[in-house]
Amino acid sequence: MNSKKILKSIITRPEFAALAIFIIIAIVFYLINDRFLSVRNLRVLFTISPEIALIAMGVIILMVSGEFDLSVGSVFALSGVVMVILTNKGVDPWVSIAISLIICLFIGYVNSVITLRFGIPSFIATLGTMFMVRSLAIVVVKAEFPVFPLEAMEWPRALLANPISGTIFRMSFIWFVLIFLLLAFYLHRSNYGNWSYSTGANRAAAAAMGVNTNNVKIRNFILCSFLAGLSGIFMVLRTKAAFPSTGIGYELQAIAAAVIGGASLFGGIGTVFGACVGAFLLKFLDNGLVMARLDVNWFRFAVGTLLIVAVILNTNLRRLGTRMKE
Amino acid sequence: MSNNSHSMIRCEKLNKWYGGIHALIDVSVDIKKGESVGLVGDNGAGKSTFIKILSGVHKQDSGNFYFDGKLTHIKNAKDSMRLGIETIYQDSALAPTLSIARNLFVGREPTNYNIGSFGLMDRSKMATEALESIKRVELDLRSAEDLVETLSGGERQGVVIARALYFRTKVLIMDEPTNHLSVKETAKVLNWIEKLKSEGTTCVFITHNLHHVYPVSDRLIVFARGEKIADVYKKDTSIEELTRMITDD
Repeated sequence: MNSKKILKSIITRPEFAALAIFIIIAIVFYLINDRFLSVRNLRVLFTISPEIALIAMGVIILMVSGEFDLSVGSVFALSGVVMVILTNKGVDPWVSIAISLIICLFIGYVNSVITLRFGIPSFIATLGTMFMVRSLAIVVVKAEFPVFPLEAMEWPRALLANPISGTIFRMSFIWFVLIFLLLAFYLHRSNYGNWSYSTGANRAAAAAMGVNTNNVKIRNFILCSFLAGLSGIFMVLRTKAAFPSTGIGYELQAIAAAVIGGASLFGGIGTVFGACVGAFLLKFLDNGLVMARLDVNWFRFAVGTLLIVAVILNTNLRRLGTRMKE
Repeated sequence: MSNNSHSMIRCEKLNKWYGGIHALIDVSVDIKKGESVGLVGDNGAGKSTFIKILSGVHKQDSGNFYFDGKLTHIKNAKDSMRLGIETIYQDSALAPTLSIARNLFVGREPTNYNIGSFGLMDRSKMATEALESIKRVELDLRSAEDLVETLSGGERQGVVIARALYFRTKVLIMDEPTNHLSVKETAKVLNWIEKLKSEGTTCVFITHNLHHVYPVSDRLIVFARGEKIADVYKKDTSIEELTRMITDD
Protein backbone atom coordinates (compact mmCIF):
# COMPACT_ATOMS: atom_id res chain seq x y z
CA MET A 1 0.00 0.00 0.00
CA ASN A 2 2.69 2.41 0.98
CA SER A 3 4.94 1.48 -1.93
CA LYS A 4 2.07 2.24 -4.29
CA LYS A 5 1.68 5.63 -2.69
CA ILE A 6 5.37 6.31 -3.19
CA LEU A 7 5.15 5.15 -6.81
CA LYS A 8 2.19 7.46 -7.34
CA SER A 9 3.96 10.45 -5.90
CA ILE A 10 7.00 9.72 -8.08
CA ILE A 11 5.24 9.30 -11.40
CA THR A 12 3.00 12.31 -10.90
CA ARG A 13 5.98 14.57 -10.34
CA PRO A 14 6.10 16.87 -13.36
CA GLU A 15 9.80 16.26 -14.06
CA PHE A 16 9.64 12.47 -13.81
CA ALA A 17 9.36 11.78 -17.57
CA ALA A 18 12.22 14.14 -18.39
CA LEU A 19 14.46 12.59 -15.78
CA ALA A 20 13.72 9.09 -17.07
CA ILE A 21 14.45 10.11 -20.67
CA PHE A 22 17.59 11.89 -19.53
CA ILE A 23 18.98 8.77 -17.91
CA ILE A 24 18.09 6.60 -20.91
CA ILE A 25 19.67 9.04 -23.36
CA ALA A 26 22.85 9.33 -21.28
CA ILE A 27 23.16 5.53 -21.22
CA VAL A 28 22.45 5.15 -24.94
CA PHE A 29 24.99 7.79 -25.92
CA TYR A 30 27.51 6.24 -23.57
CA LEU A 31 26.99 2.84 -25.19
CA ILE A 32 27.44 4.34 -28.64
CA ASN A 33 30.56 6.24 -27.66
CA ASP A 34 32.07 5.79 -24.23
CA ARG A 35 33.76 9.16 -24.47
CA PHE A 36 30.32 10.72 -24.01
CA LEU A 37 30.78 10.43 -20.26
CA SER A 38 34.54 11.10 -20.33
CA VAL A 39 35.91 13.83 -18.10
CA ARG A 40 36.67 16.00 -21.10
CA ASN A 41 33.15 15.74 -22.50
CA LEU A 42 31.48 16.18 -19.13
CA ARG A 43 33.50 19.35 -18.75
CA VAL A 44 31.95 20.61 -21.98
CA LEU A 45 28.47 19.54 -20.89
CA PHE A 46 28.72 21.19 -17.50
CA THR A 47 29.90 24.38 -19.17
CA ILE A 48 27.15 24.84 -21.71
CA SER A 49 24.18 23.28 -19.93
CA PRO A 50 23.94 25.70 -16.97
CA GLU A 51 23.70 28.66 -19.32
CA ILE A 52 20.49 27.41 -20.93
CA ALA A 53 19.31 26.04 -17.56
CA LEU A 54 19.50 29.52 -16.02
CA ILE A 55 17.21 30.85 -18.73
CA ALA A 56 14.90 27.85 -18.50
CA MET A 57 14.48 28.26 -14.72
CA GLY A 58 13.29 31.84 -15.21
CA VAL A 59 11.00 30.75 -18.01
CA ILE A 60 9.47 27.94 -15.98
CA ILE A 61 8.79 30.16 -12.94
CA LEU A 62 7.04 32.62 -15.22
CA MET A 63 5.11 29.79 -16.90
CA VAL A 64 4.02 28.48 -13.50
CA SER A 65 2.43 31.85 -12.85
CA GLY A 66 0.69 31.66 -16.21
CA GLU A 67 2.80 33.80 -18.57
CA PHE A 68 5.40 33.40 -21.32
CA ASP A 69 8.59 35.20 -22.19
CA LEU A 70 9.88 34.97 -25.76
CA SER A 71 12.33 37.85 -25.30
CA VAL A 72 14.86 35.87 -23.23
CA GLY A 73 17.14 35.09 -26.19
CA SER A 74 17.38 38.77 -27.09
CA VAL A 75 17.91 39.81 -23.48
CA PHE A 76 20.64 37.17 -23.28
CA ALA A 77 22.45 38.87 -26.18
CA LEU A 78 21.86 42.44 -25.04
CA SER A 79 23.23 42.03 -21.53
CA GLY A 80 26.59 40.69 -22.70
CA VAL A 81 26.93 43.32 -25.39
CA VAL A 82 26.11 46.16 -23.00
CA MET A 83 28.58 44.85 -20.42
CA VAL A 84 31.40 44.73 -22.98
CA ILE A 85 30.66 48.12 -24.50
CA LEU A 86 30.49 49.88 -21.15
CA THR A 87 33.70 48.27 -19.97
CA ASN A 88 35.40 49.31 -23.21
CA LYS A 89 34.27 52.86 -22.49
CA GLY A 90 36.22 52.76 -19.24
CA VAL A 91 33.41 51.87 -16.84
CA ASP A 92 34.41 49.54 -14.02
CA PRO A 93 33.60 45.99 -15.19
CA TRP A 94 31.49 45.24 -12.10
CA VAL A 95 29.53 48.43 -12.61
CA SER A 96 29.04 47.45 -16.26
CA ILE A 97 27.70 44.10 -15.19
CA ALA A 98 25.37 45.78 -12.70
CA ILE A 99 24.10 48.24 -15.30
CA SER A 100 23.41 45.56 -17.88
CA LEU A 101 21.54 43.50 -15.30
CA ILE A 102 19.49 46.53 -14.30
CA ILE A 103 18.58 46.98 -17.96
CA CYS A 104 17.41 43.36 -17.97
CA LEU A 105 15.28 43.96 -14.89
CA PHE A 106 13.76 46.92 -16.66
CA ILE A 107 13.00 44.87 -19.80
CA GLY A 108 11.24 42.31 -17.62
CA TYR A 109 9.22 45.10 -16.06
CA VAL A 110 8.31 46.45 -19.49
CA ASN A 111 7.20 42.97 -20.56
CA SER A 112 4.91 42.79 -17.54
CA VAL A 113 3.48 46.26 -18.05
CA ILE A 114 2.68 45.61 -21.72
CA THR A 115 1.07 42.29 -20.85
CA LEU A 116 -0.88 43.29 -17.74
CA ARG A 117 -1.72 46.94 -18.30
CA PHE A 118 -2.98 46.40 -21.83
CA GLY A 119 -4.34 42.94 -21.16
CA ILE A 120 -2.70 41.27 -24.15
CA PRO A 121 -1.23 37.75 -24.20
CA SER A 122 2.37 37.70 -22.97
CA PHE A 123 3.16 35.50 -25.94
CA ILE A 124 2.52 38.49 -28.20
CA ALA A 125 3.91 41.15 -25.85
CA THR A 126 7.24 39.36 -25.52
CA LEU A 127 7.33 38.41 -29.20
CA GLY A 128 7.29 42.16 -29.75
CA THR A 129 10.02 42.88 -27.23
CA MET A 130 12.01 39.94 -28.60
CA PHE A 131 12.39 41.82 -31.89
CA MET A 132 12.88 45.18 -30.20
CA VAL A 133 15.59 44.02 -27.80
CA ARG A 134 17.39 42.08 -30.53
CA SER A 135 17.41 45.23 -32.59
CA LEU A 136 18.80 47.21 -29.65
CA ALA A 137 21.61 44.71 -29.21
CA ILE A 138 22.62 45.21 -32.83
CA VAL A 139 22.18 49.00 -32.74
CA VAL A 140 24.32 49.56 -29.65
CA VAL A 141 27.32 47.83 -31.22
CA LYS A 142 26.71 49.75 -34.46
CA ALA A 143 26.96 46.48 -36.33
CA GLU A 144 30.58 46.05 -35.30
CA PHE A 145 31.75 43.37 -32.98
CA PRO A 146 33.12 44.97 -29.86
CA VAL A 147 36.56 43.86 -28.74
CA PHE A 148 36.43 41.91 -25.52
CA PRO A 149 38.24 43.88 -22.79
CA LEU A 150 40.32 40.95 -21.62
CA GLU A 151 42.41 42.83 -19.09
CA ALA A 152 39.56 44.67 -17.38
CA MET A 153 37.54 41.48 -17.23
CA GLU A 154 40.20 39.49 -15.42
CA TRP A 155 38.42 39.54 -12.06
CA PRO A 156 34.90 39.02 -13.33
CA ARG A 157 36.18 36.10 -15.36
CA ALA A 158 38.00 34.64 -12.38
CA LEU A 159 34.93 34.84 -10.17
CA LEU A 160 32.22 34.05 -12.67
CA ALA A 161 33.53 32.06 -15.56
CA ASN A 162 36.96 30.44 -15.33
CA PRO A 163 37.45 26.71 -14.91
CA ILE A 164 38.07 25.60 -11.35
CA SER A 165 41.38 23.77 -11.45
CA GLY A 166 41.26 20.13 -10.53
CA THR A 167 37.54 19.83 -11.30
CA ILE A 168 35.37 19.48 -14.38
CA PHE A 169 33.43 22.60 -13.38
CA ARG A 170 33.68 26.27 -14.11
CA MET A 171 32.86 29.04 -11.65
CA SER A 172 29.60 29.57 -13.52
CA PHE A 173 28.52 26.10 -12.43
CA ILE A 174 28.92 27.05 -8.77
CA TRP A 175 26.80 30.15 -9.35
CA PHE A 176 24.28 28.07 -11.22
CA VAL A 177 23.94 25.68 -8.27
CA LEU A 178 23.54 28.58 -5.83
CA ILE A 179 20.92 30.24 -8.01
CA PHE A 180 19.15 26.92 -8.48
CA LEU A 181 18.87 26.53 -4.70
CA LEU A 182 17.61 30.08 -4.24
CA LEU A 183 15.03 29.69 -6.98
CA ALA A 184 13.92 26.31 -5.66
CA PHE A 185 13.35 27.91 -2.27
CA TYR A 186 11.52 30.77 -3.92
CA LEU A 187 9.18 28.62 -6.00
CA HIS A 188 8.68 25.60 -3.75
CA ARG A 189 9.12 26.79 -0.19
CA SER A 190 8.13 30.43 -0.05
CA ASN A 191 4.69 31.98 0.06
CA TYR A 192 5.57 33.91 -3.11
CA GLY A 193 6.00 30.54 -4.81
CA ASN A 194 2.61 29.37 -3.61
CA TRP A 195 1.09 32.59 -4.96
CA SER A 196 2.83 31.94 -8.30
CA TYR A 197 1.32 28.46 -8.54
CA SER A 198 -2.15 29.57 -7.51
CA THR A 199 -2.06 32.58 -9.83
CA GLY A 200 -1.15 30.34 -12.76
CA ALA A 201 -3.55 27.54 -11.86
CA ASN A 202 -6.59 29.68 -11.13
CA ARG A 203 -6.07 33.40 -11.14
CA ALA A 204 -9.57 34.22 -9.89
CA ALA A 205 -9.18 31.84 -6.94
CA ALA A 206 -5.84 33.37 -5.98
CA ALA A 207 -7.28 36.87 -6.25
CA ALA A 208 -10.30 35.87 -4.15
CA MET A 209 -7.89 34.81 -1.41
CA GLY A 210 -6.26 38.23 -1.42
CA VAL A 211 -3.24 37.41 -3.59
CA ASN A 212 -2.19 40.37 -5.72
CA THR A 213 -1.86 38.35 -8.92
CA ASN A 214 -0.51 41.28 -10.92
CA ASN A 215 2.39 41.70 -8.52
CA VAL A 216 3.10 37.97 -8.68
CA LYS A 217 3.37 38.13 -12.46
CA ILE A 218 5.39 41.35 -12.52
CA ARG A 219 7.89 39.80 -10.11
CA ASN A 220 8.26 36.69 -12.23
CA PHE A 221 8.60 38.61 -15.50
CA ILE A 222 11.43 40.60 -13.93
CA LEU A 223 13.07 37.48 -12.51
CA CYS A 224 12.89 35.74 -15.89
CA SER A 225 14.54 38.64 -17.71
CA PHE A 226 17.19 38.97 -15.03
CA LEU A 227 18.18 35.30 -15.30
CA ALA A 228 18.37 35.51 -19.10
CA GLY A 229 20.65 38.54 -18.79
CA LEU A 230 22.80 36.85 -16.16
CA SER A 231 23.17 33.82 -18.41
CA GLY A 232 24.29 36.11 -21.23
CA ILE A 233 26.97 37.58 -18.98
CA PHE A 234 28.26 34.15 -18.02
CA MET A 235 28.42 33.18 -21.68
CA VAL A 236 30.27 36.31 -22.80
CA LEU A 237 32.78 36.04 -19.95
CA ARG A 238 33.40 32.42 -20.87
CA THR A 239 33.72 32.85 -24.65
CA LYS A 240 35.41 36.27 -24.45
CA ALA A 241 33.20 37.52 -27.23
CA ALA A 242 29.95 39.48 -27.33
CA PHE A 243 27.94 39.02 -30.48
CA PRO A 244 24.58 40.75 -30.81
CA SER A 245 23.36 37.70 -32.69
CA THR A 246 23.93 35.17 -29.94
CA GLY A 247 21.00 33.46 -28.35
CA ILE A 248 18.74 33.49 -31.39
CA GLY A 249 16.44 30.56 -30.84
CA TYR A 250 17.28 30.34 -27.15
CA GLU A 251 13.78 31.45 -26.22
CA LEU A 252 12.35 28.40 -27.92
CA GLN A 253 15.00 26.11 -26.46
CA ALA A 254 14.29 27.49 -22.99
CA ILE A 255 10.55 27.00 -23.41
CA ALA A 256 11.19 23.52 -24.84
CA ALA A 257 13.39 22.74 -21.83
CA ALA A 258 10.69 23.99 -19.46
CA VAL A 259 7.96 21.99 -21.19
CA ILE A 260 10.08 18.83 -21.43
CA GLY A 261 10.83 19.34 -17.74
CA GLY A 262 7.13 19.22 -16.96
CA ALA A 263 5.79 22.77 -17.19
CA SER A 264 2.19 23.20 -18.28
CA LEU A 265 1.39 25.78 -20.94
CA PHE A 266 -1.70 26.62 -18.91
CA GLY A 267 0.22 27.54 -15.77
CA GLY A 268 0.24 26.11 -12.27
CA ILE A 269 2.54 23.16 -13.00
CA GLY A 270 6.33 22.98 -13.19
CA THR A 271 9.42 22.82 -11.02
CA VAL A 272 12.79 24.55 -11.05
CA PHE A 273 14.46 21.14 -11.05
CA GLY A 274 12.35 20.14 -14.07
CA ALA A 275 13.61 23.15 -16.02
CA CYS A 276 17.20 22.12 -15.27
CA VAL A 277 16.58 18.53 -16.31
CA GLY A 278 14.99 19.77 -19.53
CA ALA A 279 17.90 22.11 -20.26
CA PHE A 280 20.59 19.52 -19.52
CA LEU A 281 18.67 17.01 -21.61
CA LEU A 282 18.70 19.34 -24.61
CA LYS A 283 22.42 20.00 -24.33
CA PHE A 284 23.24 16.33 -23.74
CA LEU A 285 21.24 15.49 -26.83
CA ASP A 286 23.02 18.10 -28.89
CA ASN A 287 26.42 16.95 -27.71
CA GLY A 288 25.53 13.25 -27.85
CA LEU A 289 24.58 13.47 -31.50
CA VAL A 290 28.00 14.92 -32.25
CA MET A 291 29.75 12.27 -30.20
CA ALA A 292 27.73 9.55 -31.94
CA ARG A 293 29.02 10.99 -35.22
CA LEU A 294 25.50 11.63 -36.44
CA ASP A 295 24.68 14.51 -38.71
CA VAL A 296 24.21 17.46 -36.33
CA ASN A 297 21.45 18.78 -38.53
CA TRP A 298 19.27 16.17 -36.92
CA PHE A 299 19.46 18.06 -33.60
CA ARG A 300 16.27 19.99 -34.18
CA PHE A 301 14.51 16.85 -35.28
CA ALA A 302 15.58 15.16 -32.08
CA VAL A 303 14.48 18.13 -29.97
CA GLY A 304 11.09 18.13 -31.63
CA THR A 305 10.63 14.41 -31.09
CA LEU A 306 11.77 14.70 -27.51
CA LEU A 307 9.37 17.57 -26.85
CA ILE A 308 6.38 15.65 -28.12
CA VAL A 309 7.31 12.39 -26.41
CA ALA A 310 7.99 14.12 -23.09
CA VAL A 311 4.72 16.01 -23.11
CA ILE A 312 2.72 12.90 -24.03
CA LEU A 313 4.44 11.05 -21.20
CA ASN A 314 3.90 13.90 -18.75
CA THR A 315 0.22 14.17 -19.53
CA ASN A 316 -0.46 10.47 -19.36
CA LEU A 317 1.59 9.80 -16.25
CA ARG A 318 -0.27 12.57 -14.52
CA ARG A 319 -3.60 11.12 -15.59
CA LEU A 320 -2.52 7.67 -14.51
CA GLY A 321 -1.30 8.97 -11.17
CA THR A 322 -4.48 10.87 -10.36
CA ARG A 323 -6.54 7.78 -11.13
CA MET A 324 -4.36 5.55 -8.96
CA LYS A 325 -5.89 4.71 -5.59
CA GLU A 326 -3.62 3.42 -2.92
CA MET B 1 -30.47 42.69 21.90
CA SER B 2 -29.79 39.01 22.15
CA ASN B 3 -26.90 37.50 20.30
CA ASN B 4 -29.24 35.88 17.79
CA SER B 5 -30.42 39.16 16.38
CA HIS B 6 -26.95 40.70 16.19
CA SER B 7 -26.52 42.31 12.77
CA MET B 8 -23.55 41.06 10.75
CA ILE B 9 -24.25 42.83 7.49
CA ARG B 10 -26.60 45.76 7.30
CA CYS B 11 -27.10 47.88 4.21
CA GLU B 12 -29.17 51.00 3.94
CA LYS B 13 -30.49 52.09 0.57
CA LEU B 14 -27.59 50.92 -1.56
CA ASN B 15 -27.55 52.29 -5.07
CA LYS B 16 -25.23 51.42 -7.89
CA TRP B 17 -25.12 52.73 -11.44
CA TYR B 18 -23.18 51.29 -14.34
CA GLY B 19 -23.19 54.14 -16.81
CA GLY B 20 -26.88 54.67 -17.52
CA ILE B 21 -28.00 51.44 -15.93
CA HIS B 22 -29.40 51.55 -12.44
CA ALA B 23 -28.11 48.14 -11.32
CA LEU B 24 -29.04 48.37 -7.67
CA ILE B 25 -31.98 50.42 -6.47
CA ASP B 26 -32.38 51.37 -2.80
CA VAL B 27 -31.48 47.96 -1.50
CA SER B 28 -31.65 47.59 2.26
CA VAL B 29 -30.74 44.28 3.84
CA ASP B 30 -30.10 43.17 7.39
CA ILE B 31 -28.36 39.82 7.77
CA LYS B 32 -27.90 38.46 11.28
CA LYS B 33 -24.91 36.66 12.65
CA GLY B 34 -25.00 32.92 11.95
CA GLU B 35 -27.81 33.12 9.45
CA SER B 36 -27.70 31.44 6.10
CA VAL B 37 -29.32 33.52 3.43
CA GLY B 38 -30.06 32.64 -0.17
CA LEU B 39 -29.94 35.53 -2.63
CA VAL B 40 -32.09 34.55 -5.57
CA GLY B 41 -32.69 36.31 -8.83
CA ASP B 42 -32.30 36.06 -12.56
CA ASN B 43 -29.22 37.26 -14.40
CA GLY B 44 -29.11 41.02 -14.18
CA ALA B 45 -31.39 41.12 -11.15
CA GLY B 46 -28.77 42.88 -9.05
CA LYS B 47 -27.64 40.06 -6.80
CA SER B 48 -24.12 39.92 -8.25
CA THR B 49 -23.79 43.69 -8.02
CA PHE B 50 -24.82 43.47 -4.38
CA ILE B 51 -22.25 40.74 -3.71
CA LYS B 52 -19.53 42.66 -5.54
CA ILE B 53 -20.09 45.59 -3.21
CA LEU B 54 -19.78 43.29 -0.18
CA SER B 55 -16.61 41.72 -1.52
CA GLY B 56 -15.00 45.02 -2.42
CA VAL B 57 -14.93 44.55 -6.18
CA HIS B 58 -17.24 47.55 -6.70
CA LYS B 59 -18.21 50.49 -4.55
CA GLN B 60 -21.76 51.66 -4.07
CA ASP B 61 -22.71 55.10 -5.44
CA SER B 62 -24.88 55.85 -2.43
CA GLY B 63 -26.07 54.17 0.73
CA ASN B 64 -24.38 52.94 3.86
CA PHE B 65 -22.86 49.63 4.73
CA TYR B 66 -22.53 48.44 8.31
CA PHE B 67 -20.38 45.47 9.18
CA ASP B 68 -20.80 43.95 12.62
CA GLY B 69 -22.74 47.05 13.63
CA LYS B 70 -20.11 49.55 12.51
CA LEU B 71 -20.31 51.88 9.50
CA THR B 72 -17.70 50.48 7.12
CA HIS B 73 -16.20 51.54 3.82
CA ILE B 74 -14.85 48.66 1.78
CA LYS B 75 -12.36 49.98 -0.74
CA ASN B 76 -11.06 46.76 -2.27
CA ALA B 77 -11.12 42.98 -2.08
CA LYS B 78 -8.35 42.96 0.50
CA ASP B 79 -10.39 45.17 2.85
CA SER B 80 -13.26 42.78 2.56
CA MET B 81 -11.00 39.79 3.30
CA ARG B 82 -9.58 41.58 6.31
CA LEU B 83 -13.05 42.12 7.72
CA GLY B 84 -13.60 38.37 7.46
CA ILE B 85 -15.75 38.29 4.33
CA GLU B 86 -14.78 35.51 1.96
CA THR B 87 -16.34 35.35 -1.49
CA ILE B 88 -16.18 32.09 -3.37
CA TYR B 89 -17.25 31.83 -6.97
CA GLN B 90 -18.13 28.49 -8.40
CA ASP B 91 -15.16 28.18 -10.72
CA SER B 92 -12.76 30.21 -8.67
CA ALA B 93 -12.70 28.53 -5.31
CA LEU B 94 -9.55 26.44 -5.60
CA ALA B 95 -6.48 25.96 -7.75
CA PRO B 96 -6.86 22.43 -9.20
CA THR B 97 -3.16 21.66 -9.71
CA LEU B 98 -2.25 22.46 -6.11
CA SER B 99 -2.54 20.27 -3.05
CA ILE B 100 -5.33 20.68 -0.52
CA ALA B 101 -2.86 22.06 2.02
CA ARG B 102 -1.52 24.65 -0.39
CA ASN B 103 -5.02 25.67 -1.41
CA LEU B 104 -6.17 26.00 2.14
CA PHE B 105 -3.47 28.51 2.92
CA VAL B 106 -3.16 30.45 -0.36
CA GLY B 107 -2.59 34.09 0.47
CA ARG B 108 -2.44 33.32 4.21
CA GLU B 109 0.49 30.92 4.48
CA PRO B 110 2.08 30.52 7.89
CA THR B 111 5.69 31.62 7.29
CA ASN B 112 9.08 31.83 8.94
CA TYR B 113 12.09 34.00 8.19
CA ASN B 114 9.94 36.84 6.91
CA ILE B 115 11.36 39.73 4.92
CA GLY B 116 8.50 42.11 4.21
CA SER B 117 5.65 40.02 2.83
CA PHE B 118 8.08 37.31 1.71
CA GLY B 119 8.60 34.28 3.91
CA LEU B 120 9.32 30.59 3.85
CA MET B 121 6.21 28.48 4.34
CA ASP B 122 5.92 26.45 7.51
CA ARG B 123 5.07 23.32 5.57
CA SER B 124 4.75 20.93 8.47
CA LYS B 125 2.26 23.26 10.12
CA MET B 126 0.39 23.59 6.82
CA ALA B 127 0.22 19.82 6.40
CA THR B 128 -0.94 19.01 9.92
CA GLU B 129 -3.44 21.84 10.19
CA ALA B 130 -4.83 21.17 6.73
CA LEU B 131 -5.34 17.52 7.60
CA GLU B 132 -7.03 18.51 10.84
CA SER B 133 -9.28 20.96 9.01
CA ILE B 134 -10.48 18.44 6.46
CA LYS B 135 -11.11 15.98 9.28
CA ARG B 136 -13.32 18.55 10.93
CA VAL B 137 -15.63 18.49 7.94
CA GLU B 138 -15.45 14.68 8.00
CA LEU B 139 -13.92 14.52 4.57
CA ASP B 140 -12.65 11.03 3.99
CA LEU B 141 -9.31 12.00 2.48
CA ARG B 142 -6.05 10.27 3.17
CA SER B 143 -3.80 13.26 3.07
CA ALA B 144 -3.80 16.98 2.61
CA GLU B 145 -1.14 16.51 -0.05
CA ASP B 146 -3.65 15.21 -2.61
CA LEU B 147 -4.21 17.55 -5.52
CA VAL B 148 -7.55 19.33 -5.62
CA GLU B 149 -8.08 18.16 -9.22
CA THR B 150 -8.45 14.60 -7.90
CA LEU B 151 -11.40 15.57 -5.66
CA SER B 152 -15.10 15.37 -6.48
CA GLY B 153 -17.25 18.50 -6.61
CA GLY B 154 -18.61 17.83 -3.16
CA GLU B 155 -15.17 17.25 -1.69
CA ARG B 156 -14.01 20.54 -3.16
CA GLN B 157 -16.88 22.36 -1.44
CA GLY B 158 -15.75 20.57 1.73
CA VAL B 159 -12.26 22.02 1.33
CA VAL B 160 -13.70 25.51 0.82
CA ILE B 161 -15.79 25.14 3.96
CA ALA B 162 -12.86 23.68 5.90
CA ARG B 163 -10.89 26.77 4.94
CA ALA B 164 -13.68 29.08 6.14
CA LEU B 165 -13.84 27.16 9.42
CA TYR B 166 -10.10 27.27 9.88
CA PHE B 167 -9.78 30.99 9.33
CA ARG B 168 -12.96 31.70 11.33
CA THR B 169 -14.46 33.50 8.38
CA LYS B 170 -17.28 35.76 9.59
CA VAL B 171 -19.19 35.89 6.34
CA LEU B 172 -18.89 33.25 3.64
CA ILE B 173 -20.43 34.18 0.32
CA MET B 174 -20.81 31.23 -2.05
CA ASP B 175 -21.93 31.11 -5.63
CA GLU B 176 -24.17 28.11 -6.37
CA PRO B 177 -22.93 25.97 -3.46
CA THR B 178 -24.77 22.79 -4.45
CA ASN B 179 -24.86 23.11 -8.21
CA HIS B 180 -23.64 19.99 -10.05
CA LEU B 181 -23.63 17.99 -6.83
CA SER B 182 -25.29 14.64 -6.31
CA VAL B 183 -28.11 14.33 -3.78
CA LYS B 184 -25.75 12.63 -1.36
CA GLU B 185 -23.12 15.33 -1.73
CA THR B 186 -25.74 18.05 -1.35
CA ALA B 187 -26.73 16.51 1.97
CA LYS B 188 -23.10 16.66 3.04
CA VAL B 189 -22.80 20.32 2.08
CA LEU B 190 -25.93 20.93 4.10
CA ASN B 191 -24.25 19.38 7.12
CA TRP B 192 -21.13 21.48 6.68
CA ILE B 193 -23.16 24.65 6.45
CA GLU B 194 -24.89 23.72 9.73
CA LYS B 195 -21.42 23.37 11.21
CA LEU B 196 -20.37 26.79 9.91
CA LYS B 197 -23.52 28.34 11.36
CA SER B 198 -22.94 26.69 14.71
CA GLU B 199 -19.53 28.35 14.79
CA GLY B 200 -21.15 31.68 14.12
CA THR B 201 -20.30 32.05 10.44
CA THR B 202 -22.86 33.91 8.38
CA CYS B 203 -23.46 32.27 5.01
CA VAL B 204 -24.75 34.00 1.91
CA PHE B 205 -25.53 31.97 -1.20
CA ILE B 206 -26.17 33.43 -4.61
CA THR B 207 -28.03 31.58 -7.29
CA HIS B 208 -30.43 31.95 -10.18
CA ASN B 209 -31.99 28.61 -9.30
CA LEU B 210 -34.03 28.65 -6.14
CA HIS B 211 -33.85 24.87 -5.82
CA HIS B 212 -30.10 25.04 -5.40
CA VAL B 213 -30.19 27.10 -2.22
CA TYR B 214 -33.61 26.34 -0.78
CA PRO B 215 -32.38 23.39 1.30
CA VAL B 216 -29.43 25.24 2.81
CA SER B 217 -30.98 28.65 3.53
CA ASP B 218 -32.85 29.89 6.61
CA ARG B 219 -33.99 32.90 4.73
CA LEU B 220 -34.41 33.90 1.12
CA ILE B 221 -34.01 37.29 -0.46
CA VAL B 222 -35.29 37.74 -4.00
CA PHE B 223 -33.89 40.32 -6.38
CA ALA B 224 -35.43 41.53 -9.63
CA ARG B 225 -34.38 44.38 -11.88
CA GLY B 226 -32.06 45.83 -9.28
CA GLU B 227 -34.58 45.81 -6.47
CA LYS B 228 -35.19 43.59 -3.52
CA ILE B 229 -38.68 42.21 -4.08
CA ALA B 230 -38.91 39.69 -1.27
CA ASP B 231 -37.16 38.92 2.00
CA VAL B 232 -38.73 35.98 3.83
CA TYR B 233 -37.83 33.27 6.30
CA LYS B 234 -38.15 29.80 4.93
CA LYS B 235 -40.47 28.80 7.71
CA ASP B 236 -42.94 31.50 6.61
CA THR B 237 -43.02 30.55 2.97
CA SER B 238 -42.87 27.66 0.54
CA ILE B 239 -40.85 26.91 -2.54
CA GLU B 240 -44.03 27.27 -4.63
CA GLU B 241 -44.77 30.71 -3.30
CA LEU B 242 -41.19 31.87 -3.92
CA THR B 243 -41.14 30.43 -7.43
CA ARG B 244 -44.32 32.34 -8.19
CA MET B 245 -42.71 35.50 -6.83
CA ILE B 246 -39.68 35.14 -9.08
CA THR B 247 -41.53 34.13 -12.23
CA ASP B 248 -44.41 36.61 -11.82
CA ASP B 249 -42.06 39.49 -11.86
